[in-house]
Amino acid sequence: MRAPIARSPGPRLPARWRPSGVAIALAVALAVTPAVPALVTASDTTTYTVRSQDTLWSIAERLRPSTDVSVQQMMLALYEHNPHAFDGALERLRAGATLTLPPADRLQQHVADAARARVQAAEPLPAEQGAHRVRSDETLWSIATRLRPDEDMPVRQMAQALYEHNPNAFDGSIDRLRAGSVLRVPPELARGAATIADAASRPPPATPDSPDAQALERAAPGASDPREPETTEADDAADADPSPARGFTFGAARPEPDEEPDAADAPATAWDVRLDDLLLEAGILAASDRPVDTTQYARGLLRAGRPLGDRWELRLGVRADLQAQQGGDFPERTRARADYDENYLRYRGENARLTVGTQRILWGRVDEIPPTDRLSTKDLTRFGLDPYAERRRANPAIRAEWFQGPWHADLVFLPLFRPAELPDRDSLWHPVDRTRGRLLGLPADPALAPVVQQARLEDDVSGDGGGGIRLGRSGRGADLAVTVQRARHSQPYYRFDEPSRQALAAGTTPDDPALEAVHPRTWVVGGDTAFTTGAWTWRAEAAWLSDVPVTRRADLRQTTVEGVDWVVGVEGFPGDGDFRMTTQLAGQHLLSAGDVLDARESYFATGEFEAPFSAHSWRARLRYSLGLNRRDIYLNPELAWIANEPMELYLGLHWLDGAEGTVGGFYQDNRMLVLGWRGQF
Amino acid sequence: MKILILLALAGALAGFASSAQADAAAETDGRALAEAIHQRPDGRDSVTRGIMTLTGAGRRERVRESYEYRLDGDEPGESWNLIRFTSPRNIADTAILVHNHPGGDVDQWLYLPAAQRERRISSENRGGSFVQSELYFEDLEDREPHKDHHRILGTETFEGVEVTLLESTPVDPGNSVYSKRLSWVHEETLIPLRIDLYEGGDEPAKRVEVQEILEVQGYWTVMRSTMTDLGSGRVTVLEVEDIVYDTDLPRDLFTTRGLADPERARPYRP
Repeated sequence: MRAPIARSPGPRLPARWRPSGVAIALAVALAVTPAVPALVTASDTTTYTVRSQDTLWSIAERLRPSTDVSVQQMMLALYEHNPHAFDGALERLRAGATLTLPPADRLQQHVADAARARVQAAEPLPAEQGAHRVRSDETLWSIATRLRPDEDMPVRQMAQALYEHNPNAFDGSIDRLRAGSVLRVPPELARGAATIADAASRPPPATPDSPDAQALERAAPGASDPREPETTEADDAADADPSPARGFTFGAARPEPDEEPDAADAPATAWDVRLDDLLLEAGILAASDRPVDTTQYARGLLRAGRPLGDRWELRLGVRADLQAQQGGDFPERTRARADYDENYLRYRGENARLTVGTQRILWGRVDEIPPTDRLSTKDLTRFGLDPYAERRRANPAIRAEWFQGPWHADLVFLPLFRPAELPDRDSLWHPVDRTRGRLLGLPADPALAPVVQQARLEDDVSGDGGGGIRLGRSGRGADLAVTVQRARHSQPYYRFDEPSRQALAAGTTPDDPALEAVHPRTWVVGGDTAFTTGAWTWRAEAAWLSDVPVTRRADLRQTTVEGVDWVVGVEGFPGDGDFRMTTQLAGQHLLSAGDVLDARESYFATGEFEAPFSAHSWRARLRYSLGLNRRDIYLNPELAWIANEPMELYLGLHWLDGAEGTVGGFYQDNRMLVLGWRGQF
Repeated sequence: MKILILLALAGALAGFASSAQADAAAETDGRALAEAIHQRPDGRDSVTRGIMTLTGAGRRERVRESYEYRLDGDEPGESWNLIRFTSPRNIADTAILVHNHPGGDVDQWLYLPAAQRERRISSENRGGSFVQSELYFEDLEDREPHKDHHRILGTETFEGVEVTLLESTPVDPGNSVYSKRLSWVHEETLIPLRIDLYEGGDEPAKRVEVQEILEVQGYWTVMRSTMTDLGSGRVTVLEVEDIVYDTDLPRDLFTTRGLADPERARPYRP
């Protein structure tokens, strides 16, 4: 039961109309209250008394037996069955009138479309549009400027209309607007009235109050006994108002609002500028064989966006990074870099979206290592110290998307290939360690070390970056996507140049050794899905790659083989509280690789535990990645003070360990303790 | 249907119930009242600009601003909710999309702007706190009356108005954080003016209180309410700054596309 409705017993009425004890009890209780509908139980049918705040729409919606009967059909049936209750027209329902429910067989005598058209035609001026609460930093002038129906209306006139329509929002005169009060727009001045009136599903406006209906004006807070709801009668001016404000205030007075103006009030055409992702961090290394003693890192992203008309949007973004290291046997280095972030022009159509410019496009669904994320540019400047999304840079792309119901087709082309962003050549995070003569991914080899130390690095990144398509569906119960891509590995794979390789294979020392970074093209065929079982959310993703770079053990020749990467993960809140955990199992396989220097099979468990504590002033978090078939460990516990939004202070540890040839092993001397600050403005 | 959040918190928190041997009439009436509260007219759609203030017990005050878009489906029980935060900056543009299906299934996605990804999440994490407030995720749920036993305990005068005391206890204790809810239901508006929430034990753990109700476009609207953690003294204040009903929100705002694109819903802001 939506509202008090009483009826006598009758076998054929739908169950929804059946009277309940509470409806009758409520009816009795309500009958003694003024301005409340009187309920009538007729002898042979059901009746409903129109309340002052009812609309024919709301009544019809409430009383129709099922959604098989459209609201408009029900409206027409009520109208035709109760001519006495209307002032001659559909839109002029009388408050206080008694409606008799039409017999069930009369409800659908108008076909739904005709009923809609007729109701639409009858719709007069729209109902008032909403309410606005006055903030302490607002003036009547600023509000009137914002709420007036169009720019042709003088602000002064709108202000006067607001004053007359909302007498209780003022302390007696137009220049004394009360902060915290609510202003309602008079119906005839509702914004967008014409367009809204065209809509078939909008309810008709409230009917005029019956003369005896007591108008309850919302009073200013703090005026009377806090134990009494503050209701007052409308003054004379408001009596002419077709829908005077009604409301209740309970308990203590509302405090004066003390708010900063927010972006929502800025004109829609203005630039939205944000200083994002600010980070300052200092690190101390702890391992005995540490490459450096201390590190410092700072970065910031400046983003600006603005709409260009209804359909277009322009986005601009730049970032700056500062990395420094001192002490230890690695060279002291300080590097400052500026880079582009997302800079694009976007068009939004009804079912399509086109984005041209530099973008970060992250395909895939699982955390940290999504196998189908092959078109983004990796950021290797800090290895894996930052969370996944922060380890990606924008790259030039043309992206076309189509949306249809739950379906999403995503087409991406990368006209210029952008390889992974690397740190300074002598950074402790560079994958070619020329100080100690090591190469990430290969076991340390005393014979190779001097060559690696002397080798020049060459990187040929000309050409396009490929492209791909992803077709996704977000539906009831599960999300899934499939993708086909022709991509290039953004992470460099280092091989010796041909003369060096021949020399090494022959057992001699190359004269002018060089390491060439290659980014082989590969086909990627993959898919991902997410679904929930109970309180757990499962995610799975896999990709087959036609070309994964490897180095043959026999002759150090670089080639490619097929590979498969997969991840299965689960996220949940054990204890049904604020403690969140994700756990993923991942596998990386090289198919028919033969005798290569690279790992042919790797299995990992990765994930995150996170728990706020002390009234959400602090957060403890652990990110981890553990090799399952080889020792390869990364642990990142972090304690953060998060009470002072939008900033946080954190203390973290990056702990690495691993066997020869693993990532954890390669960087294990880089274990460090960090103290940092993050913020967004 | 109202999922509710800022706007109809009190309305959605309505129901619950009683033991089988309880007075049958009181239970029937209780169920009817819970249904009436649940089906309280609230328009076909609404857009709310709300401010959530986390305060009390000497903690550093935090303020969250958001827009909530709500649309009811054609079928009873079907509804969509999209909540997008606009402030503070560290959660700006973060959004949650909830699709309630007839019959009680719920699809829920979170959008995290840093990753630019929509992320399906389970709707059954009821006891977690919603953006660090005193609200549990369960408090955002459009809890249907049949999930609880309801019993009317009587009527009394509360804050100067007539209210009906409604006691609600979950049919399946496993699907609620709360062992009992006691609602002071304002009869004219069908809005509970106070709800005591029990998490086991004889004393309530949390309390919802409504300070301000306003009729907007013919719909009774909770304009200000609080959720108090009675143990810690921490309070979450929910205030409606702007609200508009029945603007014909399009269905496609409530898709993962609408979730991931903050600009899509901007023209519908009040």
